[in-house]
Amino acid sequence: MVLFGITLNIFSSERFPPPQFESGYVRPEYTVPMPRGGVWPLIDAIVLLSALGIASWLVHKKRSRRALFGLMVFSLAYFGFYRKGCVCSIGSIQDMSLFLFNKDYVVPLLTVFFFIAPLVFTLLFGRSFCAGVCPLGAVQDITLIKPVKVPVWLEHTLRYLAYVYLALAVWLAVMGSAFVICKYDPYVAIFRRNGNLDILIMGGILLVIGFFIGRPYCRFLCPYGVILRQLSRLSRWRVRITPTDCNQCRLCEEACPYGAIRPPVHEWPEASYANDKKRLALFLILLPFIIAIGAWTGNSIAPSVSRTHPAVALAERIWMEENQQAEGTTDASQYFRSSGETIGSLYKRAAVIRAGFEKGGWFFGGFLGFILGGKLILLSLRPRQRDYEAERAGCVSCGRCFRYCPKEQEKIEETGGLSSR
Amino acid sequence: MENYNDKRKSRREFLRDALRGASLVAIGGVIGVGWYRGHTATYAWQIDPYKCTTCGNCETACVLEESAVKCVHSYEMCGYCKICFGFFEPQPNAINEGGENQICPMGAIKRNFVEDPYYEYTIDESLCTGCAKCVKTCAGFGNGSLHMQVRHDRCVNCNNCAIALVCPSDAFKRVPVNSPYLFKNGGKA
Amino acid sequence: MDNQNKKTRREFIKDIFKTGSAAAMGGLVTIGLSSQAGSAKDPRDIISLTEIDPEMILYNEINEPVSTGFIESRFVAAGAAGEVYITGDKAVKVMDSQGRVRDTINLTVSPFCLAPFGKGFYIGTKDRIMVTDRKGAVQATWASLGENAWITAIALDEKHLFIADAGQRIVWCYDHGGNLIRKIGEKNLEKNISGFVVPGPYFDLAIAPDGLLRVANPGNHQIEAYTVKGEREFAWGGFGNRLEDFSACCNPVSFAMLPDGDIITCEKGVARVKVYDTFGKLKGFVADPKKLADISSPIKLKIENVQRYGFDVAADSEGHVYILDRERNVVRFFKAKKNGFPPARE
Repeated sequence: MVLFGITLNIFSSERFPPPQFESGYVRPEYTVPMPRGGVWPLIDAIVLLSALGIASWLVHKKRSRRALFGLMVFSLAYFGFYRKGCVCSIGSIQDMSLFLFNKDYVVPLLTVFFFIAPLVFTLLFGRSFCAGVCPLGAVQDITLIKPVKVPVWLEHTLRYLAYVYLALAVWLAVMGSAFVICKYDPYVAIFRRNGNLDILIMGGILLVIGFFIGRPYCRFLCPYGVILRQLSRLSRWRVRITPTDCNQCRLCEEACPYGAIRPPVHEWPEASYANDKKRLALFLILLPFIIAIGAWTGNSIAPSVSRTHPAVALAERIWMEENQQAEGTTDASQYFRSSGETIGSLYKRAAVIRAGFEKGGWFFGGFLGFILGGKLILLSLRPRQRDYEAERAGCVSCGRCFRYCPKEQEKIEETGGLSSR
Repeated sequence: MENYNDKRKSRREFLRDALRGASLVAIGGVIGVGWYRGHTATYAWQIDPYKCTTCGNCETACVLEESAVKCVHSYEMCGYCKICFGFFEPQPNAINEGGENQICPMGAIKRNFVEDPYYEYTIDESLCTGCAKCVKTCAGFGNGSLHMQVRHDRCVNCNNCAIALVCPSDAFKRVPVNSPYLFKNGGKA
Repeated sequence: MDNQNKKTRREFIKDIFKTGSAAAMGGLVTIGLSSQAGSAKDPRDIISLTEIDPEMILYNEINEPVSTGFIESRFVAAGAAGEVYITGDKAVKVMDSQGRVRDTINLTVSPFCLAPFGKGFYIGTKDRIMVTDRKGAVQATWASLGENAWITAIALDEKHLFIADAGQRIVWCYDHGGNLIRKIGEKNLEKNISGFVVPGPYFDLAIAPDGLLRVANPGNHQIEAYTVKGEREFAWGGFGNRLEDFSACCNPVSFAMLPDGDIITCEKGVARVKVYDTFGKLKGFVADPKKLADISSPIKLKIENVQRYGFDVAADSEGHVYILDRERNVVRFFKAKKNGFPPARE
């Protein structure tokens, strides 16, 4: 009986009696189709856990690209097309951020599991989640037709986007503005075979780019990938190109479409040693300044970013309406005016949220400054490395390089196996 | 040289082990916080019908091609009117079931004679698009027994509901998955 | 030569730009016009039900709307001495005809409706009548009319007290002491009584100057006249899209009798407060519907000129009309224009 919230129902206390029927008519009841609840979350969790386990086993023990490919297809079918891309580990970042900062937010256990299980597996086995479980990874890996190498400098620059995306997603999620990762998930429209135009266009463009540039979302955008990169650096077991010892044959050099194979690095060249050291020192000194500049920038863009929050947007709209800077009303402003809340209280509410954004801006910018500075420092270092190795952070365990290794071929012949493609 | 490298490597390994342990502890901490707060639950999205402004976004904003939101009917609240304005156009040409007299563009509301002077109105959910036109006029002219609800046989339960993002009155909320309906007049669910 | 060539080329480019921008402008104008055409008013839109000739407005609003101060305003009644009673929440407010609050009578129950008499009030709660003095002290409480009772109006004559029971779709006739005399309006096709059709909690009645009881039958879109003995004398009104018809599912939701036998009716859904003569000929309107459902007033509505809660209306012996807006929780005060009524319209 009530369209507008605060206006109380005149007859809220009792129910007005319905007509008395003489014909014995029986009023129908509501039908209550229930959500996919019950054991289904448990099944999802078991499928996730099994897929992670199988992926890790395939990468480390079986070393089979063909089997991994099969698992990818399965994950794409189950998590992508059947579960329609939701819940996913990438999006769970937002749930977890909101959950950690907001006492009232209710997070489903399944989402917590989707967030944590791949992290634990990555700490143990590297990014086997990216290899065989993530449906977004699978769709890109399967559609990679003709890989093109991305120059190292461009790779590093573009990867920075993922950090920005992560920081922004966490910032907006914590403030309760929006879940941008879900909103702009480029592949969800493919999983659902439906979506609004801009997402379809974005998904299409990224898909086409992915024909030539391996896993563009994973490498340059994925916020969860950023987290997994760091944890993968610490993994207990790492992906090995060769099953035994590297004989430096360089056959695998071109095998990786994701630019994750690093050639051996020997001694620091005498000529550039002094210069490089100086540069490192400079970056170390600059780091605090970069962080400070980042934090200041983050803080100063905060008011504009705060507009993504519905309450702030509404307060601005009401202010414009009150000051004759906007004509008419929007659905939201109309609802607000009927809700009985005073304009002053809305302004106060919005001001608190905006202040929160400003505080968050320091961390947002500071974090990005830290990443930038840290990246510059890391680039000035030259970790020594003897063999051809898959880079811990960048390797998504896709298994493409295994068959390039002559040692692997030897092993296959020995066992007569068909394990690799 | 070899010795030096090995030492260096083992030092690096140790650091890695330590950091890995620390990460695992941190992950455990997150689980612990969740446990302590007891705020984990399974939820579903639902519309508070008393906050709904019948803006029509439900029809268009859902990620599904055919929205998961449908009109439902509280028979307990219905007046069983002969001339129902949730069924008829505001100015009907005639009081009969002709499509041109109906407010529902899809003809999803069925009008069945019960007994003089009462008529029953039922909703064919396979036709309903969730446009809320009938809900608006039922609330305006009648008892407000028609209202919008997320139908959970259709809803894919997105992490962040796309309709909730554009709802002008914050009518979308998360509800426990085992009682996922907010029917008017406290209907059971 | 070369220079000239260059110049013409430049001009050529300029021309292309000009044509291009002209085309773009033309396109924009066309789009603008077509979108305007698309938003053209549907003649069958509800708004056209509220479009009236200003000549038909027979009343002036004599002061600003007065807030009732209630969260839920329910009912308005006029007293013999020009005072106005408004019930809501768990109280009765007494105002003078200028809207100044004279008294607030607090009660322990929610008063659904009220009828003042010499020494006190008959107050209708959900299912029973309470007799109180002018200060609200309870003198008597009558028996419950039943579990499904939903009392929405009380009318008094010298011997009888009539109760409109929306929940049970019946009018009860009692004496002033609380003894049941008879029920009025039970379905009886021999007596041409089809029964009251009351889909919602809106069911009004009043005693007319001719001594007959008038009862609104909202589901049938009629005002019916009964004798005190329960005989149905006549009825008028019907559903339709014309100004003189009642719109929507169930109207009129409330009405008030004027001293000369005219009737003022209110409709739910459309903010039309109309003046009819005794036999249902439309004479005019109390106010412009657009003004009554003014979207700039405290509650803004999604549907222009539509109000969800039906207004309640009361009139006193001097012809003042009081409209209670249950949605905005205000009372409006009207007085007939001095120049008399224009001739009734067909």
